[in-house]
Formats: sequence, C-alpha cells, structure tokens
Amino acid sequence: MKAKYLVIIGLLAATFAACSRDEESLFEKPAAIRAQEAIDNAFNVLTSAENGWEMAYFPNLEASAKGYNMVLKFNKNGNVSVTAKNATTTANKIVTDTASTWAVKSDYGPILTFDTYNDVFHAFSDPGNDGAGLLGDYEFLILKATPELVLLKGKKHSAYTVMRPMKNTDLAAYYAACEKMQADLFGNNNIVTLTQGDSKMYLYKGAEGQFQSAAYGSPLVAETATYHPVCSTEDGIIVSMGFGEDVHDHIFYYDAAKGELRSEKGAVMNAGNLNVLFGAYFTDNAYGWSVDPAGQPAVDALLAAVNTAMKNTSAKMKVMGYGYKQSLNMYEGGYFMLINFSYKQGSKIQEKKLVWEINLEQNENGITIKGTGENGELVPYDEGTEKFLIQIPSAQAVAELMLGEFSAAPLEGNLFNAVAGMLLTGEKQLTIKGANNVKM
Amino acid sequence: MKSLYKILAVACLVMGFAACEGDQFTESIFVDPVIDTTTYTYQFDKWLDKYYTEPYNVEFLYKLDDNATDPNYNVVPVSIGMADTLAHLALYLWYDVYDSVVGPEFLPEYGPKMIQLIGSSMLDPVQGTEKLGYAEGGIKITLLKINEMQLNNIDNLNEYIFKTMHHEFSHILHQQKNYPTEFAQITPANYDPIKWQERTYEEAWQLGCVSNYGSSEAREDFVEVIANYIVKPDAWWDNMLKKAGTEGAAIINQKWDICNTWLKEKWEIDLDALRDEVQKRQQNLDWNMIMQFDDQLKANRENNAKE
Repeated sequence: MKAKYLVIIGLLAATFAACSRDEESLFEKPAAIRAQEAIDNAFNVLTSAENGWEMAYFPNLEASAKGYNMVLKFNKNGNVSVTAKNATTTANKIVTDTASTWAVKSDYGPILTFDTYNDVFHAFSDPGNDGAGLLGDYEFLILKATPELVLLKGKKHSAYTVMRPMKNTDLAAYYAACEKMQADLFGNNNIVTLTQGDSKMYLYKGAEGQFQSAAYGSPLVAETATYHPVCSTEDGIIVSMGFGEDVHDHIFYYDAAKGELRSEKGAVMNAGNLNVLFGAYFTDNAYGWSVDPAGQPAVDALLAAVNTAMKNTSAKMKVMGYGYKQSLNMYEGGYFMLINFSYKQGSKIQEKKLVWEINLEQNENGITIKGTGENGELVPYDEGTEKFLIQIPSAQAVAELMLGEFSAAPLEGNLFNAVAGMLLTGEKQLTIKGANNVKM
Repeated sequence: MKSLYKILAVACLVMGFAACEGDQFTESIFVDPVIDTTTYTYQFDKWLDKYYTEPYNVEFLYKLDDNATDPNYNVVPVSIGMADTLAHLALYLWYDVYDSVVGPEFLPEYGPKMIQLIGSSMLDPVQGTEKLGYAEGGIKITLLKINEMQLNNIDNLNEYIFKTMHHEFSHILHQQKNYPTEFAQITPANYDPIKWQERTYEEAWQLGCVSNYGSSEAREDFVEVIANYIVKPDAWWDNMLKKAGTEGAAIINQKWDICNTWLKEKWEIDLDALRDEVQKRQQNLDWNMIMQFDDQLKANRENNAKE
C-alpha cells in the first residue's frame, strides 16, 4: 500500500515538474500593452506627415478593380481631409471633403477606420443601387506603419493599399505629375515586359488604372488576361499586389534614363525586346501599328495620284479633303495591311479601304513581313482593292514599303513607352506607332 | 469532512460578497461617459449625451463599426451632417412624442439602449430587397439609408425614415412583451417570407396586410400595422382600406384592433393619441424649428422641474 502511495506521489511530482515554466516569454510585454502600443504608433505616424499622405487606393482585387490616387490629412482631433481626382468618382476634378472622422482602433490588430461618411473616400465603398458599388473598403488592417510607408489591407475586400508621405504641397501639381507619368509610361496602350528572376510576362493597359497581364512572347489575348490594379504616381507606379511570390513588392520607381520601372525588390518593367514587342502588340480587333507617311516618296506619289483623281471627279461627287492611314492589323488570327482613306463628300464621311493579307514572322532577332503570293508578293485581298489598283497603281508601291526584313529600334523619348513610336530599320526605314485597329 | 465543505462554502460566499462590495449601480447603463473635449465631434457628442444618453439612457451610435453590421451587406457610415439632422428629427418626431403622450419615464425604461445609424441601406440584389432598419434583442435599433434622406420630400421621409423609426421601435416593444399569439393566426397562409417583395402594396392590402413587407411574416405584419397607422395620413389609410376590398379591410381592421388593445393593455399607450401627435408634427415640418427643438425641450424640462 505504501508503495502505491509513493508511486502516486512520484507521478504527481513529475507532473508538477513538467509544468514548471522556466522558459522566457517570446514577447517582452503583455499582449494588451503591445496592442495599445501598435495603435499609438499608427496614430502618431499617421498624424505626423506634414503634408499628409499620398494614398494609392485599391478598392478590391476583382477583374474590374482599378487604382486611385487620394491625398489624406489625418488630424489629431479625429478629423480627416480626403482629396481625389479621377474619372470614376470625381469627374476628373480635384475634389476635397474635410467633414468626416477617422480613428485607429483595436480588432485583430490595429485597424484604421473612416467611420463617418466622406463624400470623396466613401464613394468607393458606397453600395449604390446594386448593393456592391465599387466594393471598396473603409476599414483596414494596418500591416505596417512607419514614417516612410503605411501598408493597409482592406478588412472586407482584402486589397492592399499603400500610403507614403506627400512631398508635393500643391495638389493640382501633384495630380498633373501623376497624369503625366501615366501618359508617358502607358500612352497608346503601352505593353511592357515584367522580368522577375527568370520569369517574364507582358503587362498592358496601365493607363486605365489596371494592368492586364499575358504570357510573354505572343500576341495579346484579352480573354485570358488577368487583372492587376495600378496607380501612377509622381515617381513611378504602385500596385496593390506584387507580381511574384512576394505580394508586398508594391512600389516601382521610374528611371527615365534607363527606360525602366524597378521595384525595391528587383522586379523590372521595360519595353523589352522590341522585335518581340512588335508582334505582341497585335490584338484581334483592337490594336495594330500605323505607319508614319512622312518622308516616304511612294506615299507622296500615291497622294498626288489621289489628288489628281479627285480633281477629275464630277462636281456632284466632289471630295472635300481626305485622311490617310496605312496600318498593319490583326483580325481573327490573320495579319492584314490596310491603306485607309476617309473623306468627306457633302456632309457624309466616306471610307475607302485597300486590304492585303500578309505573313508575319517575328522573333527576338527581327521581323519579316511577306505577301501571301507564291513568292511573297502582295495579293489584293478583295475586289475593291483590285479595282482601286487598276485606277491608281501607285498604291501598290506604298503597300510594298512594308515588305521585307526589319529590326525594331526605340525612338528618342520613347525608351519605356516604345508603343508610342519606334523605328523599323532594314532595307527600308519606317516609323510606326501603336494604334487602334481600323475596322475591316 | 462535511463540516470542512460547509466552512469553505461559507468562506467563498463571504469572499464573493466582499468582492462585490465596491460595485455601485448607477441610473445609466453607460457608466460615467467621458467625452473627449479635444475631438472634432465634441460639440455633437456633447449634444447627444445631453439629449439622448442622459435623459433616455440610450447610446446614439453614428460612427460606424463594421463589426456591428451584417457582413453579408456592403454599407457605408452616415455623414456627420445627416446624423445631426436625424438626431434632431428623432427627438422631435419620436422621443418627445412618447414623452408627451405616454410619459417621460416610458422611453428611459423601455426604449432602445442603442440607436445605430448607417448611411446606406442593405441591398440584396438577388432577392430584390432593401433593408431600411432592424431591431435586435429588445435593446438596439439600427436605422439605415440616412445619407439619402430627402429633407424636402415628406413622402420619402415618411416611407424611409419616420415609418422605420416606429416600425423598429414596435419590434423593441414586442421583443420585451410578446404580441398576442392570435395575431399570427389571422392570416397565416398569406405570409411569404421568400417572395413577399413580388407583391404590390395593393395585393398585400387585399390579403389583409398593410404593406407588402407586412405580408412576409406575422411579426413584421404586426409592427407594420402600428408604424403605418402612426405615420401615414388619413387619406392613405382610407385609400388602403378601400382598395383592400371588403375582406381585406375587415382583416386589417381586425389586426389593428389587436395592436391597439395590446398597446393599451401591455404598455398603456393610446395608439390614436400617439398617431394624432405624430401626424400633427409631421404635417408642419419646420426644419429651423426642428434643428432648434433641443432649446425648446430644455426650456420645457426646466419649467417642468420648477413645477
């Protein structure tokens, strides 16, 4: 019996020994104190930016989501002023609302809340008439709060939002600079190549508040694109989600001399290989290349012939001037060359299109454009083109300008936004520019 | 051994009471509210404390905490300006009406302990429904769509704001004292909680309900009778009875009798007197007067105190 008691006492002693806590706590302070310190820190950081904060706001990560620039000033008395300028909520006017409140409170960590309605800020979260609106958040988890950067995550819709202290004190100048950056980088629906380590992808349509991404090296296929909200800023761009494994690679700085946007973590966006870009820009029924007619004797000869033909037209058919465009487009997977005349006859705008189908080969080393004839010559695509060529044969020479082997090179000032204009060099030299497709 | 247990039990009880000794109960459930004098909303917060929390024992929540809303809906906070307007309006058309008709002790005891304002409504585009308010646990009323109040449109205010106030407050009352079971047995087959929104008002009237929402379920029907009767003018009520047809009108009148009796017997509320007072005030909406109504209240209370 005594032995039984001894065993029990021994087991009890062992149990208490097992429970004895001699390891140190992972944290120096209790959780409640740490939570309050996080709130105090966020409050102090947010109220300390002298010129307020630039906010790259991303309502959500749905396919329709875009990025928006706002400027916020957090006052210590709980008042906040919010300014925005965008096409979606302010009709492209600078609008400020100063009559609302903010707070930092505790939930699953410090939360930044905009807890009374602000006409500018809550325009993104107002459910409107469909119960959803733009699906923006007004309560955010504060993931990081330093004097240089505040990183937020929408509590309901989960998009990341980035804030940096405002450098510019002039709001009009700030928005003008952001818009210029957007136009410079993404005008003409620029396509850029994003390189992260060994992986590459195309990003395009950045001017519309969101990137669409596509596989590198082939024409863009809008149907398979994925969407990434983006904000243009004074010094580059901010994205809601990093493109690689690190979702927090948000900020890309623009280097005009190098023609690149480079993130803090080494991801690079640039025009990439221009021969490849030439092929990538073709999109079914959307984008192609227009050819600059300036300095091309063959074009001058064609236009002179057209002028002569117009003079011989009866008074009833008098043409009151015309527009001219030569372009390479893609339709239903095939490549076409078009010469397009649009002219005003009486009060009506008329169009005349000359069409040739072409074969396009393109890789990193160069571009080859051939006609579809047996020997690579151009063959009129339709009866209308054939008839026009009988009347004005010089149009054929203009079309043939684009046949041959070329190599693409950047134009000065378009290092990053090569789609805004680049040079095709080879036997002939052509300046081309990204453009909307002419309808077939 | 049993004695030891008794000693321990007595000791625990003594210690338990000793632990409670320092606690004191105050009249308000909101103990010593501290209003920060340095905040942007100090003046409004002070006003709310003076005209709501102090006299009525109610917390007026206008700064939105998303945790306090239904996560299935997207909503936005109320603007400070609209919260201020609604607070004055509710004082004039709800709180002071009950003070005048039922007595000043009624709302502090039975009224909601929290009123929450939300700027937008709760829209369900799939069901095609729009929630304008809700009452919870007999203590909290949430009023929605406050940012969209059309201050110069009495029909809009009546439908979206005034009716919602009285609708939700009626819920608060029946959450404290059940409404008669016989009410639910009048037209049980006509209630449709899924497709009520597909009914027009006229169709609902002919089924013996005062609104299409009232035809969703008995408890909504019950409070819709009260709320519509209080806020809608005579012409509206008469038109409803006429278009409800003989059968529908008889049912609505039967339901009204039950509501009227329940309010009288359970709450000592004279429904007609309440309606007369609300109608009188609604028909002469003077915003300058409403926004300064607190001054009048203050003077009335001071006079009452002297008497």
